[in-house]
Amino acid sequence: MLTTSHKLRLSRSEVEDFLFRQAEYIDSRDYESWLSLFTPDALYWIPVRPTDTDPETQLSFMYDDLPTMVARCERLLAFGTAGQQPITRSSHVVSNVRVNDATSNGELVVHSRFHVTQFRRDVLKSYAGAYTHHLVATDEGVKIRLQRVDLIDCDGIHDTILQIYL
Amino acid sequence: MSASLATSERNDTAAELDVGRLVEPERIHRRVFTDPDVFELEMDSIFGRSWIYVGHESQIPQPGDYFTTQVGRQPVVMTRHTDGQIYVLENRCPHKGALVCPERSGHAKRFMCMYHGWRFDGDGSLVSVPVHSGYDGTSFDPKDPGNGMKRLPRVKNHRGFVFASLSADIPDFDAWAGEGLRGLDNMIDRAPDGSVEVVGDCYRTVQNSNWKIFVDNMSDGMHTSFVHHQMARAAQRTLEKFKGQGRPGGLDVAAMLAGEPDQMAKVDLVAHPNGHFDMAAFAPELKGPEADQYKAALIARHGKEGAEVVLQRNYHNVLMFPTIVMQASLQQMRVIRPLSVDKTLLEIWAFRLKGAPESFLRRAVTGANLANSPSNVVAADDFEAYFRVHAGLKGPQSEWISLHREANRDIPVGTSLKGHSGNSEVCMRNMYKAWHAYMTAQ
Ligand code: FES
Ligand SMILES: [Fe+2]
Repeated sequence: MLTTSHKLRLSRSEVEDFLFRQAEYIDSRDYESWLSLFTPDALYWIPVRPTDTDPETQLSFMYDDLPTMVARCERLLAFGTAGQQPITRSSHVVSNVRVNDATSNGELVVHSRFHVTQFRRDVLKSYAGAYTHHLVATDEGVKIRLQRVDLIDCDGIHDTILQIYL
Repeated sequence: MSASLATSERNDTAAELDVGRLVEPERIHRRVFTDPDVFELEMDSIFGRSWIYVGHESQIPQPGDYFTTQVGRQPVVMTRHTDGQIYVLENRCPHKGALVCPERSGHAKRFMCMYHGWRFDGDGSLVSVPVHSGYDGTSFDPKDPGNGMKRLPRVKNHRGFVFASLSADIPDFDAWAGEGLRGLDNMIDRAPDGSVEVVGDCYRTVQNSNWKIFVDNMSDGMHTSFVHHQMARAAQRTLEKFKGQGRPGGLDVAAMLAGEPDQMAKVDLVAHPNGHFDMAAFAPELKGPEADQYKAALIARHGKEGAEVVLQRNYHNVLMFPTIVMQASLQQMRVIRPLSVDKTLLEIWAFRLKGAPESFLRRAVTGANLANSPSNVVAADDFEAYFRVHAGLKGPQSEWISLHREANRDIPVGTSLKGHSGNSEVCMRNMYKAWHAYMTAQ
């Protein structure tokens, strides 16, 4: 996959279509399509505190590179994974999309809000917060280089393990 | 203290149960895990009468810093006073009992209770009571500093790790810890500068199961190839696919659990007096130029032979009963804070070995993200097992669970017991022996 050098420009509705599609892939457990939305050097980061700046030396909820994302998705789909008996179902709502100007390295920075409801074994669980997406143009279309997920309860007590991507 | 419990589980056939009979050498009664009355007694007899881990001194480096947590059911605050000393206080106002420090951590020149404005120093001393004339002629002296926040009667700072006890009348820390200390000491000894510090804040996750189901799992070699099979295989396949990629401490460690049911057989399991144990490490050591520099730094500190001893000892799981389960070789510590009979809070900390290369810290962080975070892929499958055990044990019909594996083959080593193999249930048997002693002590 080659990143093209030109600045990525997308309208809000084009960005919305993209974000809705990535959310739909998770909700329909189509992880192969979902993973194809990311660049090879992509990072998926859920900080554990609102103030965290360095995921290399601070704990995170998730700080996945692409290999980790692939392995995580394989675990979710593997036959017999203990934590997915029963499976987790999810439903995303993505909203409040704001498109920034492209940054100097050609990335388009997009802010939005999400509300994800998950259901597993009689328990309904809600996750809410803000997305920051760094999108780039490649010869295979628009891809995500960074997905940052800021949960409003990131530093709270968690009585459910978050198993699927937000 | 009464060792006899009235039943709170109406379906049980016995109306009354002697807690001393819940533990046998090779089997445990299900009510050890499910009975709320047993839990209450544990809070008094174990969490009220042993050395409970509070926190690390690096969490409160400056005078005025504080950290709040709980010792058993007691809310406490660990402070650093202006005298530089660390105190562990009941986080409770002596007036009406309000929490004085409401935040998990913070900094305050003095503590002021938000309810009626009583003020306290970092060592708990009462500083002032507004409109104190109201106490003239009463039996309460608002000028007596001793009328402040109560100090826990026993506090021990072991190389930066602060423990405390709600009871004055317990054995000294060293006698309590014994050989059970060697895992914690080894992690500290591995720091070229001789000390460690916490990395930021901890994770806080809750298991919906009894705390001892988690502890039992920590020495359970036989579960690994079943519970972690899918993730281990996923990690293995992914590493093959992305040749040479993957951060140390992440998928490489997860992939190690992809073996046969007896994959942990060769791992040393040693049970120590008072319920403690350690399990030898199996994760690969870091290699490369940074690791060589690190070894040189350790030799500079401990000498050649000393450094060898430090590096030869290497532990995966270390239990200091009842609150600490360390993953020493991965620089992590899980602190057990039971909330109720079927809810268990873990505080999960990662540590920086001072003087060690940054890659060591990165590996600890990667490992914590993948194995211990609230969105981890290793304990996610363990938690499912804990939940199912607790749910299965709620049924009153069958009473006992088994601790028989390799029970006739334990190997005495000094005052400790080594399991015949890494599949042995020796550490569980040893822990329940200590549990029984605490619960039946008069
Ligand atoms: S309860 Fe603290 S001042 Fe009254
Ligand atoms: Fe496990």
